Amino acid sequence: MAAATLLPARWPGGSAARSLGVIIKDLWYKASAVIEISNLHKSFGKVQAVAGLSLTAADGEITGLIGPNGAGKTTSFRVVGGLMHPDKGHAAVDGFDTVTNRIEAQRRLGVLPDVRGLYRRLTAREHLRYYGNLHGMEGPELEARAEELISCLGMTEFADRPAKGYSRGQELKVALARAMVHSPRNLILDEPTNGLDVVSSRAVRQLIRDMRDEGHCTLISSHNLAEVSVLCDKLIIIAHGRKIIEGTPDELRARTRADDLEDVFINALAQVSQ
Amino acid sequence: MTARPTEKAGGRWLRHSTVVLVKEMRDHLRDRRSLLLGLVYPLLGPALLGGLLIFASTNFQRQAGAELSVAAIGAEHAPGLVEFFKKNGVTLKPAPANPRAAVRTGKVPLVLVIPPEAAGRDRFTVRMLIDLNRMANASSTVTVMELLNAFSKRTARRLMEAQKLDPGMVQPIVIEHINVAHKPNIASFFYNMITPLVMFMVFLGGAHIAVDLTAGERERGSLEPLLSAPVERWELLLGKSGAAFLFTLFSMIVSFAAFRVILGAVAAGSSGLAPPPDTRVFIDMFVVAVPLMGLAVTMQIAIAAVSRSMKEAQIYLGLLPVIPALPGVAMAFSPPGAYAWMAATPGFGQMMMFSRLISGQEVDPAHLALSAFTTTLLALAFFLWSVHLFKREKIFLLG
Repeated sequence: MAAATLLPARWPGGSAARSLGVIIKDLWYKASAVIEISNLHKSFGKVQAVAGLSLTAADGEITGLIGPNGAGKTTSFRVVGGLMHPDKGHAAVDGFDTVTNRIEAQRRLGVLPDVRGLYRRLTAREHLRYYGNLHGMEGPELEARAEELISCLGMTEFADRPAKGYSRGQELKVALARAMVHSPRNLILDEPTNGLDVVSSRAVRQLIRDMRDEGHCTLISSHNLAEVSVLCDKLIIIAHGRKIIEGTPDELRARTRADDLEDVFINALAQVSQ
Repeated sequence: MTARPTEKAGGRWLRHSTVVLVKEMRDHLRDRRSLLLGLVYPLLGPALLGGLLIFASTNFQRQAGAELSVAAIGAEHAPGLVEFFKKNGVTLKPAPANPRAAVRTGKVPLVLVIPPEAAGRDRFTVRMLIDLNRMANASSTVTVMELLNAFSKRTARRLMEAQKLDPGMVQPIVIEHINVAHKPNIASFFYNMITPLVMFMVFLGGAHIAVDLTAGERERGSLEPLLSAPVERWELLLGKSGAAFLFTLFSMIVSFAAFRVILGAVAAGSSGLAPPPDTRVFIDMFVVAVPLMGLAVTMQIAIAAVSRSMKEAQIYLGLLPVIPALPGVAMAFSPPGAYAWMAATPGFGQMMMFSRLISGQEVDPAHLALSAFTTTLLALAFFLWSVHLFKREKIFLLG
C-alpha cells in the first residue's frame, strides 16, 4: 500500500515578510514533523478541562493519548486543530502556533474528529475533492490522491454513493480519508478504528504504521488499550487535564509493574486518586 | 504520491470561497426539499394575489352592461321603481319562499321588500334583507342601494318641480368624485399588495438554505472538520453567503415571473380588470431588490450563527420578515412623496421604490443608488458580525 509521503508543505502566500518567516520555519522543520503542547490550560466556566498539559508527539512516531472520559483529550486535540484558544500555554504544529499562525498549522495537520460530520448528499469521492480543494489541491493530482485513498481504505464499493445510509465504519473511512487527502505531515486521530470491522481496523492500523514509517507524526486518542499497545510507539496517560505518565508501552509496564496495559492504566489512575 | 497544492496566493480567498459556494450549491441542489421550497415558496404570494383578484373581479366590480337579477317581494306595488331598475340593467324576480333564510344561506345576495303601502304612492319605505358577513354580496348590495338612492332623488326632484320649488334645495351640496389614480381600477388596489409580498419573499426565499449551511452544519457535526481546514472564516462565510444569495436570487426571479404571469392571466381573463404592471416594472423591482437580498442573507446567517440550534434559528428567521416590514407600517404615517431619507433606510427605501414602480411612477436614480449603498453597507455590517461569531470557539459546539 502506498501511503502518504512526507511532503514539503506548499510555499505559502501573504506578505513577503510573512512568507520568509514561514519558509525559514519550513526549513527548520523540514526533516521533522512534530506536534507540541506546552503547559496547556483550558477551562469552560468552572470546569477545568486541561490543566497544565505538556507533551510532544515526534516525527516517525505514533503517540497514543489515553485517559478516562473527561480527561481533556478532545479539548487538547481541538486546541491543536486550531479550533479552540488555550487560556494559558500554547500548542504548535511543526513550530507554527495554532492560535497566532492557525492557517499554517492547519495546512500541516490532518484531523479526524470524534464526530465524523459527513455531508449526507455528497459522495465519499466528493468529500475528498472538497477538502482537497480547500487545501489547495486540484486536477489530476487530487483525483489520483482520492483514488489512492479510496483504494487503500477499501472504499471503492461506496465511493460514488451519497453518504446518506453509510454504516459507521464507512463514515469513519471517509472521515479518515478526508483527514489525509492533503498528505499532511501530522495527524491527530480521535478513535480512528471506532466502529470498524476487524479487516478495516487492521487496514487502518497498517495505514497509520505506513505513515509513521514515512516520517509522519501521529497523535492518537483511543479507548481501545489493546489497540494502542500494539500500535503506539509512545503512550501518554492523562487524567483531570494533566499528564500522569509517559513512555513506551514496555516502559510503562515496567514502571507500574503491571503485565498488561489495562493494569498500567488502572494503576496510573489510582496513583492520581491517592 | 505527492499532491502538490497548485493555488496562487493572491487568488486564494476567491478560490476558497468559490470552492465552498460550489459545494453548497451542489449539496443543496440535490436536496429535493430545498428545490421544492425554492419553486413553491415564490409562487405562494402571486397565487394568493391572483386568487384575491379573481374574487374581487367577480364580487366587487360589476362589469359594464352586465345584467343583475335581484329577488324582490311586492315588486308589483312599485312599477315605476321596477321600470327604473330595468332601465339600469337590474331586473327584479320573485323572492324565494323563505327570504331571510335564503339571504343567510347565500342562496340570493339580497331580497328587496316593497310593502303594499307603496302602491300608487311617491313616498314609501323599502327594506333590503342583506347579510353583511358575506363579502360576495357587496357588489349586488351596493348596486341596488345606488339605484334606490338615484330613484329617490329623481322622485324628489319631480315632486319639487310639481310644487314650483327649486330641486337644488333638496341637495344643496352636490358631491362629485373624480378619481385621479393612474389607472382607476379595483385591480390597482390589489397590485399594491405586491410590495409587502415581495418583501416577505426576499426575507424568506433563501432562509432555509442560510440556516442549513450554518446552524444545520453545526448540528450535523460537519462544521468541526470544516473549521479545521486552512481557510479563513470570512472566506468560508463568503462562499456560504454566496450560495444562500444565489438561492434567494433564484426564488425572487421565480416570484417576479409568477407575479407577472399569474396576474396577467387573471387580468386577461376578466374584461374589467386593469392589467398588472408590465414586465419592465418587475425587472426594475428585481434590480431594486438585489441589495436587499444580500442584506436578508447576511441577517439570516448572523441569526443562524448566534442561535444554539437549527430549531431556534428557524423560530428567529420566521420573525425576520417583520423587521423590514416595520418601516412599511411607518410608511402609512410618513409624508407623501419620495425623499432621500426614505431611500436611505434599508427596507423602507425598497418598499417606497416598489410602490412607485407599481403605481407607474418614476424612480429617482439617485434614490436607487443611495438605497443600494446603505443596504449594502448594512449587509456588510451583518457579514462582519457573522465572521466575528464564526471566530468564537463555541461556534461548532452544540447547545
